[in-house]
Order: sequence, then structure tokens, then C-alpha cells
Amino acid sequence: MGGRVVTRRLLLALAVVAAGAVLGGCGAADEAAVPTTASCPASGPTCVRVGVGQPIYLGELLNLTTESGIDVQQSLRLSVDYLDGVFDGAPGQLLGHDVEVLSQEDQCSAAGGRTGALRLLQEPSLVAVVGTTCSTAALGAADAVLAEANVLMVSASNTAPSLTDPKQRRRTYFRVSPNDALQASAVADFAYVREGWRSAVTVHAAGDVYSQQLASAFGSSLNALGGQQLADLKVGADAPAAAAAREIAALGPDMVLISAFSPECEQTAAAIRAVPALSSLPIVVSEACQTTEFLQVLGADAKGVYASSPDFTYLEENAFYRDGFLPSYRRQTGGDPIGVYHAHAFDAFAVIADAIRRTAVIEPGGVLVIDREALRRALLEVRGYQGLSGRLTCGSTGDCAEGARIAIYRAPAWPVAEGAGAKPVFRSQKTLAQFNLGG
Amino acid sequence: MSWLTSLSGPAILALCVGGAVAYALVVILVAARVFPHDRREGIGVTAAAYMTVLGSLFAILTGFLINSEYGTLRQSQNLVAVEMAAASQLAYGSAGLPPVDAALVQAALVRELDAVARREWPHLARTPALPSPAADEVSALSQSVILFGSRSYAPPGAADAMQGALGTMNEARRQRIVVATQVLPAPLFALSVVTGAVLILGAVLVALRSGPRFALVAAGIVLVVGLDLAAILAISAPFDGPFAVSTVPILQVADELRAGGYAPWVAAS
Repeated sequence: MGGRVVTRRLLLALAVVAAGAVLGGCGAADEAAVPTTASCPASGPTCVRVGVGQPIYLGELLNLTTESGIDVQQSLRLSVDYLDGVFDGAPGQLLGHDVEVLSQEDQCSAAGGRTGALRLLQEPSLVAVVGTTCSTAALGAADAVLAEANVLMVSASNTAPSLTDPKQRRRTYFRVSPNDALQASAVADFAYVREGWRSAVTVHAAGDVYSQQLASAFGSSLNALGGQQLADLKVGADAPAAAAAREIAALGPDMVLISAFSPECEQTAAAIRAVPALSSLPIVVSEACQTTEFLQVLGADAKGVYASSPDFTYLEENAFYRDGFLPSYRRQTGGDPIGVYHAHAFDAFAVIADAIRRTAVIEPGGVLVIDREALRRALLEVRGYQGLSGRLTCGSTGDCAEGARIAIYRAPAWPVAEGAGAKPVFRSQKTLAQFNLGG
Repeated sequence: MSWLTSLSGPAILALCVGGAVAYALVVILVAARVFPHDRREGIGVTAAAYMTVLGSLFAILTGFLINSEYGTLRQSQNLVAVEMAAASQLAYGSAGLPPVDAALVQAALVRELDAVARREWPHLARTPALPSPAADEVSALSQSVILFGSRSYAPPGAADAMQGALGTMNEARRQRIVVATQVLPAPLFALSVVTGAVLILGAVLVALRSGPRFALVAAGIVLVVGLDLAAILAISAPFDGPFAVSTVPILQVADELRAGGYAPWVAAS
């Protein structure tokens, strides 16, 4: 009897042990904690889904009739080439996808910018656009169209101050080129402080935002230094350069600043030189006029004409530019850079690619999901990016260039003619913070 | 034995404790039949005399195995920590390069870390002796570091930091693979199982002789044997099973890299 009791108790105790083990085992969870990344909602208006084997679409909206536009385009080709870390002439890949750059003309006009942007948007997977070349094509035109579609726009050569004026700036608009408030101030320093020119006449291209705003900003800077902007003249189809030259002669300034594009630049400078009283009047042209065409058209009259532009010697101090980018540019295009914004173009593409790397999500099936809104926010996180063109910090105004080192070159020793050998006669470094424009 | 060690925690627990209980039940039923009441006293006394020795032997064997396997697990965790510290150092070192190059080195590092965490881990659990499925990414990272670090414009400090970190990463990874090829010493584990079985047998015989009070003690011994064996199996597969080395630190570094945590030009949001 006692043996049976022991056996039963033993069995009961073992049953309790077994039950405990099963329950304990059930309670032990061993799920590995796998971090998850929030993905863009499939139907979201800001989402771009790039399937396996499909390319990432970027756009370029440039004025390819100008050296500046071509220069930027060539630099963008190099940027795509360098996605694999080597300038070998073959396009690299971004996150395992080819990058296809769709190209449209901005025609350096508001209508052209708007039309070009709309054409680019015909590709529904368009992620971002590098452009425009001309501020006129961007302001209230391409920037508005692309902002409506939530497509990021990064310009390598827009400089008009109003594009990043908080009252007018579109939320998807950024630029890596310096704000012309900086160039205007540097040119005013050169004119007033260095050369002692106290009065100036500015000439801008009629209806062009860039040239109008640069002339205006220069006038403000000169007046702030104690000088005087005698007049701001316009040239164009309805305003012949010869008439402007006569008016300049009548006003008798110490200098003239021409902020325009070709052919207005050449026409205005030639008209001024054609007036005997103005044959030795100092002429300063903005960076858009700094072209080989200007030097060829003006010939001997170009000698002594000053041109402002980003400081090329500063670019040469950047070892990657000097030893990596520039030799490759020469090898692939057969010559020196023909414009002043090639380094900015490389940077514009680089910050977009970097933002894509930081925000894109690869779904389990391999589909790459890019959230355009996240892309925009990623650009706003850029602080102190050491680009080819200088330090970039993208503020809420859309200005990314923290500052600018502006150089004044004296023809014929312009960078477009002499390349890296051109030595500036004046240099000035300006920052957005000095103008409370840092955003 | 790898199939056994790669089971989930609940499965190992259920198998070992359930196995011990089932074995004990069989022993009880057989002993109750084989040994009549009048013989239980003598057998119980004999069994009790061996309990101390058997208990000690079982404790020494399982203690040694648990200590050894836990040491391996800790070593693997430490190697992952070293590997990830080196990965961070590599990422920080790359920050000295031009941003376009730094971004490419960091992208290669992300791909390597993802491949290690998602593809190499299961591979280490099953076939560690075969070439790793992350070999391409590991090779691509090394090539990136060498390519960008050797360029004329690369700051020597950045190149040295990257190459040093890469060396440490590769060394830790190689050691991790060596650890993965080590398996639970089957003879020792078998000896532990046999000792545990004999211990349970002894406990049952003592319980049959000593009466109901000893039943709970015997049940406790059965439970301890089962749990000990479960513990050995659970910790003996560092890259699989319930106590596997976590891949979370690797994926965390990859996520930080993706978010620009090692890019000096990205402001923390």
C-alpha cells in the first residue's frame, strides 16, 4: 500500500515538473529584435518606387546654348560617372540602380523653365532636378512647377537673391551656387575700397531676373560703402546697347558693371568702347559674361575688362578637384572647364545622391523606395559639406553655399581663357551670415 | 548535433525536461514492476550511497560544458563588439576623405554589414566551413578602403585610420568564423546525459524506498537534470538557437550609417 503511495506521489511530482517545463518553455520568447525602417506609403504622393533593374530618374534643366549650361551638363555627366568612385567614362550606379538623367532646356526664360519642368515631370518617377541655369527660368517658373510636384530642385548656377528670399522661395528649391548678394558685395569692395571708384552705372539685361537683381544688389552695396549708383540701365531688344553707352557717357561714372548674358554682354561692352569718352572707362562684367565668346568678340577691346566669378584658385586648393575631378574633366571633354559653375554642378549632384542614400529604403523584394519629402528634409540636414565649390550648409532659405570666395580677373587673364593659370587681381570672401541670409 | 542546438528555446526546454520526465516515468514504472516491496529497502540504500558521487559527477560535467559553451558565446559577443567598434572607426576615418568618397566608403560598409547580419549569420549557424555568402561585400569594402585611401588627395590620417579599422574588422570576423566552426563536444555531452540518466535512476530508487517525502526531491533532481542539459544545448550555438549572438549591433551601425550618423556633414535631426 505504502509503495503505491510513493509511486503515485512520485508520478504526481514529475507531472508537475513536466507541466512547469512546458509552461516555462511557452513563455520564453526568442524573437530576434530586427530594426525596421519606416517605408514610404506605396500610394503616397511623394513616393517614388524604383523596381529591380529600373533606373533612378533625375532631371537636368539647363540652358545648353550657353557655355555655363554646357559646363554644368559636362560636370553632371562626371558626377554620374563617379557614382562608382572612379572617373572611367562609364556611368556608375546609385544603390544598385542606374541613374538616368533626363535633359530639358530652360531657354533662360520663365516660359522655358516652366515648360522644361513640366516636360521633366512627364516621367512620374522623377526624383530630383539639377537646374536651372538661369535664375529667370527658375523664379516663379520651374521652381513653382517642381514644388507643386514635390520634386527637389537644386541649382548649380542660379544666383538671384530673390530665389532664396523667404517670401518667394519654394519649399523644394535649393542652390549650391552663391547668392549674388555676396558677389555684389565683393565687387563693390573691389570698386570702392580697392580701386577707389566712387560712382557706378550698372547695366542689366531687360527682363532677366539674375542680371537685374545683381545690378540692384551691387548698387545697394556700393551705396552702403559710401559710393553712388548713378543709374541702372537695361539693354535688350527694345533697349539698344548703343543708347545705354550714350547715357553712360552722359552720366560720367567711375566704372560700369555689366550683369547680363551673351550677346548683351559683348554688345554693351563693345558699345561702351565705341564711345571715345568711354574708351578707358573701367568695365566689370559678372560671371555670366565671363566667356570665351566675349573675349573673341571684343578682341583687343577686351583687354583690361574685369570679370567677377567664383575664385578658381580656391578651387585649385581642393586636392580632390585638382587631382581627381579636373584631370578627368579634361580627359573626358577634351579641354578645361568652359564655365564657372562646374564645381557647383558636381556638388549639386553629390548632395542629391547623398540624400537619396540616406533616405531611400530597399524593400524585401528589392524595390527601392524614395520619399521625395524625406529627400527634401535630408537636404535641410546638410551642414558643412566640404564640396568642390566650398562649404555647403543648406538652410531653410534654400541657400546651401555658406559663403563665396569671389575673385576679380582682368582680361585676357580670365579662367575661361587661361584655365587654372589665371590669377585674380582681387579676392574677397563673403559669407551669408554677414548678410543674415543663412536661413 | 547542430539540428539539436539550433532548435528554439521552448523546443530545447520541452525536449530536455520532457525527456528527463519521460525517462523518469519509465524508470518508475519499470522499477515498480521489477523490484518488489521487500527488495526496495536494500536497493534504495545502495542507490543512496551513489547519489553523492553521481550528483557531483553530473554537476562537474555539466558545469564544465556550460562554462565552456558560455565562454564561447561571450567570446563571440565580444568579437562582434570589436568588429562593430572597428566598423565605427572605419566610418569615422572615412569622414576625413572628400565627402563623395566618404559616402562611397560608407555605402560599401553598409552593404557589408547588411550582408554579414542577414546572410552570413545563418550561414555560420549551418555551414561555417563553406565560403561566406557575404564574401563579395567584404571584398568590395576592402577594395573601397584601399582604392580611396591610396589616392593622392586622401589625408594620410584618414587612410591609416580606415586601413587599421579594416584590419581589425577582418581579424574579428575571421575569429568569429573560427568560433562558428567549433561544435559542442559530443562525447562530453553524451557522458553528461548518461550521468544524468543514472542520477535520475538513483533518485527514483531512493524515492521508492524513502517514501512520499522524497518524491518531491526526486522530481527536483529530474527537473535539474533536464534544465542543465537544456542550458548546455541552448548556449552551444552562438549563431543560431535561443542564445545566439545578436545581429542587432551590426544592423544598428548599418542604420546609423544609412541615416548619416557618421557623415560629418549631416546634422543630427
